[in-house]
Amino acid sequence: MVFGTRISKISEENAVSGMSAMNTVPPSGTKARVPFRAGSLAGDLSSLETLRLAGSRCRDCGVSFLGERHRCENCSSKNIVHEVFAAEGMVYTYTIQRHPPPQPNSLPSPWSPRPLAWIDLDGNGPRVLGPIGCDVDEVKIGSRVRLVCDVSWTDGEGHEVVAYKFVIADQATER
Amino acid sequence: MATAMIVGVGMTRFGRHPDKHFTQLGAEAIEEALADANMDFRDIQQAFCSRVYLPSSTGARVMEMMGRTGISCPDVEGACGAAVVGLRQAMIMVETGQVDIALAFGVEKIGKGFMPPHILYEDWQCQMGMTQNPQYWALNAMRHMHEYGTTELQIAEVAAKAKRNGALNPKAFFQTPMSVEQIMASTMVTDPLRLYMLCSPVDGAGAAIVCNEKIAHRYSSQPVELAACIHAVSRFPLLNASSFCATPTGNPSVFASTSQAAYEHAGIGPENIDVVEVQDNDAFSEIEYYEELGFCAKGEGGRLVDEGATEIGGRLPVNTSGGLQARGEPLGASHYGQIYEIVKQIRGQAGPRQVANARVGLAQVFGAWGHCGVTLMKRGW
Repeated sequence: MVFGTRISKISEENAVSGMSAMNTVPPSGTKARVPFRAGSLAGDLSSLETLRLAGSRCRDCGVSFLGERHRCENCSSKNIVHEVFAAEGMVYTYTIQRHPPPQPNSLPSPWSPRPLAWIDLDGNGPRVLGPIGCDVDEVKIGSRVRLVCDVSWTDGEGHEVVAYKFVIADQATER
Repeated sequence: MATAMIVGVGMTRFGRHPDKHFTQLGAEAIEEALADANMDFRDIQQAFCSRVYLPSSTGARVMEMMGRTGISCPDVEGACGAAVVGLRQAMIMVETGQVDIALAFGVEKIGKGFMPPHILYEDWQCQMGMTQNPQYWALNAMRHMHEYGTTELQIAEVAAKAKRNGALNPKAFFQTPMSVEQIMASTMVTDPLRLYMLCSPVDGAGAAIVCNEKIAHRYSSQPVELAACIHAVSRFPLLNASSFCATPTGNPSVFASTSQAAYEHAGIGPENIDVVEVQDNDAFSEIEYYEELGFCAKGEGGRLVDEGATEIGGRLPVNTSGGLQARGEPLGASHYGQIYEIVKQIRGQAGPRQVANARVGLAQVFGAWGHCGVTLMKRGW
């Protein structure tokens, strides 16, 4: 897979550009890992700290999306480049999930209330939905957050599935 | 093109019907609509059945109850907006002269609690626990409060209005009035939304008989004109439900664009409307729809609540039936519950909920994945 010209700086620094997280050879002793959704993670699945959310950006309207698309969801253009997104972002809005979501899910039981947020990724990246691993009173609109990837569940074929959450990065900034 | 009139409406009480098969619920709503129109089922030339959780060919199964008269009756689906899709198809077939009489109905049976997620979400979204419907509205509510100063108390006022109106509606699931204090004391589900600010997915069925205006007088002395019935799938982004991402674009919301299309088609503006039913999945969303449907400027929905404008007796009564919050939401039948209320209001048959001199009404429905419908109705006699 070849990324387009608008690869984010963070991916260049981490030398993960051009590598999809699909079909990564697992380290010996572990089961094969797969991303939560094909084309939505970039980096080495055996090295979780290298992982970034990835997707597509439209060269015509400029809007970015999770996942590899062949057309822009916003304007239907085929003028699409793939892109690895920044690991940091800002909380656009959030809620606190006070009760466990419906089954099936792979979340801890008994349930502890957790924040869930729409997050604007830096570098004009997409607005993505994700849980925030923090106390319920730690998050507010404008909070700075950072991506964390982890093995989160095992799928029906025995693969370890790598998914994401966010953690509080530093001082919150109102906007 | 012909004008399409609604000449009969019917609905079961929305709620829990553990002892009734879904075909019985469907038949019950259709029988009421037929009686309302003084019409025989054998006069129906086309039917459309809306459902979401029920099995394939639900419509054909209901035909088994009503009589196999040999008509077409496909299922049409559009999440919680499923019913508007069927109503729109019925209207178009009558308007274009394909048939003179079409039946549009919906039916649903669903368990208590959060809706089963796999029908709407991918497995990873389920596994990550991002499938709890009210969370999407809560996320919108939190942002709206941040930007415009909308308060939890205003949201609770909308919930109290829904319960008050529902108590006047014998077809509503929830018929007990509830104070703002009781609502504010109910358990927090997903901040800032509390239990009694949320609608319940329930069982139920609803039906509308759509007829060419030229023969409408045979069936009703008070036909209600279908002035517009618009359905669209949201443009990007969609904060409300199911999207993987929602990068801002500046596009109008599907609520604004669909209602605008309906207003233009009917030559009716928001200022001409007497009575409204909106998709109040939760009390906050109703405030958002005041704004998106053009009843007030962006950010002023809370002010409408403070003024009491949307109460029965206010200048623009909204959800006189009790809305989804009190009437309940049987997904595939939900819009027919709204249509039923607006038709009764325009005919002057809404009893203690009656809005004085209601001539023009709007019903708006919204479902996962961005299905939005707006139906405009007006006095047709």
